[in-house]
Amino acid sequence: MSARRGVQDLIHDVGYRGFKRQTRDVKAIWPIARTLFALAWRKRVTKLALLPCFGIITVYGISIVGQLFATEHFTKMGAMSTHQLSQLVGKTQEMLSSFIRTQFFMVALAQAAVAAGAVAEDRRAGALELYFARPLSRLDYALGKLLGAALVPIGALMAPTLLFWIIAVGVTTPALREGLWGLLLPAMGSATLAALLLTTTIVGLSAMSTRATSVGVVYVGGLALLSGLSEGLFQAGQHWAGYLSPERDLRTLIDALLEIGAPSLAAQLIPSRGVVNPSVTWSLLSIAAFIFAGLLALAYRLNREVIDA
Amino acid sequence: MSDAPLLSARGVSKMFGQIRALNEIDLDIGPGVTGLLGPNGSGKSTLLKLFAGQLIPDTGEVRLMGQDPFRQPAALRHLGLCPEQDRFYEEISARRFVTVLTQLHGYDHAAAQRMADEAIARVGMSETARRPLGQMSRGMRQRIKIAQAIAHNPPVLLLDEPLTGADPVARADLIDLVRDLGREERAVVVSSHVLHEVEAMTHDVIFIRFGRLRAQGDVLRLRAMLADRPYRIRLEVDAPRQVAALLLEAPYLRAVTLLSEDTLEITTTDLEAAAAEIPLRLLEAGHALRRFTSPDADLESLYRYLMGHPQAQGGA
Repeated sequence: MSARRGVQDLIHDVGYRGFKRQTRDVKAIWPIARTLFALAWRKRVTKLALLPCFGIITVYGISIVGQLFATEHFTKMGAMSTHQLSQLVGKTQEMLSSFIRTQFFMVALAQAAVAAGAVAEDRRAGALELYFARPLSRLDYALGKLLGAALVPIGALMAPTLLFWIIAVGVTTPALREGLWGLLLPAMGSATLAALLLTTTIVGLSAMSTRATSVGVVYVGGLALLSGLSEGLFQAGQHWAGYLSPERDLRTLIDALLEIGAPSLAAQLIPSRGVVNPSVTWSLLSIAAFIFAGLLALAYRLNREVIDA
Repeated sequence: MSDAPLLSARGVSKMFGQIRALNEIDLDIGPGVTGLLGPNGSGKSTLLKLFAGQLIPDTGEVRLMGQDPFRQPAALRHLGLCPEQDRFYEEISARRFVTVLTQLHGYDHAAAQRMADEAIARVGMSETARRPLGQMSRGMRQRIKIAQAIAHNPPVLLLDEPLTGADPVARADLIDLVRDLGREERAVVVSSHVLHEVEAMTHDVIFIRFGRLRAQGDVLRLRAMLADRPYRIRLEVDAPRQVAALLLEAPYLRAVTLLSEDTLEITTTDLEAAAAEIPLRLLEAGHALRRFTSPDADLESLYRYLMGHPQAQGGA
């Protein structure tokens, strides 16, 4: 730009400058999540509760690999038709479906140990006063707690589901691999939904109390009670009651997503199978309601904390 | 640093149900240590929570470094809070506790840990910083609470009962620390029940009672403004009767009382003039002045006059 002699430029540039985007500070969310897990990890009950989770992962890992090797072996022998074979040794999607259903209970137990104190402990200890004296919004705090509580379902449910699929795709023959590609999204969708359900409900419940132990007991007891009550009423002909159990709703969705068609003979021997709800849509809505209730409880508590402070 | 107050409240009122916790508070707080005093339930904690962005005023506005601490959480980067609450995460180490809370100001782990170590060293806790908080005495946890408040080097510090549970040596150290922090051009607001400790930290005080601001300023200047409350001065002399006769002519004198064989109490409206003239007059007249004290020119008497309660009744 050339300056005219004797004229002092006052305006050097005219134009638009975009506003700096307000980005959420991830650095602030992660320490909250990590502290939640670190505090839980110091308790013996957490380690004890996580052991069955890893046990289930090991058993299903071995089963899936064994199933695939058996299928490959019998296929090479040509002793049975594909249909007969799948009836005998089961299908991969059935194993994945069974894993998510079984692990749901184990992770629920672990969640009771890890995340029951997520907000309850902060309320009891007065730590909220310290958190909110920092440049941290209520949303940051809530996201931090949800992330911390989600670490167990991510590690014990979602990651193994993905791992099993990768192993299955890796070890199987090209012919059988064709059928596995389409399993990824339904399997991960089911695992994600289970993780969301477990995380939001425990954190929401934790927000309503100041005692972590009570939250854990109520959480596990509540899940068991709802499952039992729902099963009993359903069998008595009250089909609407089937939607009261989050586990049953999840089972319905997993079956719809992963198990298309009649179950194999092998799958019928798996104990975690059960009767599902008549409507997948209502089951999905019911799960959404549980997730929403958890988030609502958390939002309500954090909002009240400002007023009650 | 500009002359703008680091903390300010304009027409601030706060109700809890039917109870008015704060009523039309107007105040500015600048750099240095300021004592926040008032009986239990007077509104001190409510005021601190308003400054810390944890409450919304019903009327008026609160500003922290010119920003609304509730609606603009970014303003809280400038704040360090040491709450009265004493029970935190008992299982984690003091070092981790301070590091995590420093990270919440947006620092990465390495930077936060370095800042936490510096703050822990400043409160004299480096040796024991790896111990879990649950294994620490109340006084030690008090120091750690102060460390988490100062770790990110904030220009504004709110310390709620910072000396609670500290032993005498720790109290002296913490008083020195608070004074040092005040000398670093920070606004340090100390809410405390122990008047002599506040007096050891600062002469700038805020008195709150029934949610109303009773007084704000320097202790001695506030005391001088109470014209209806003359000062009492106690003199320990060799001949009290002769000294009383000698001083009766002084224009600043209001009354003289003989307390004992060697102690005299005079009442004056002008402490400065009395302090300047009495020793000289006694010296000229050949009397020995062994002690010159004013029992009601300190924070405790000012508190008593302004708040109407002796310290022992409700605390500050």
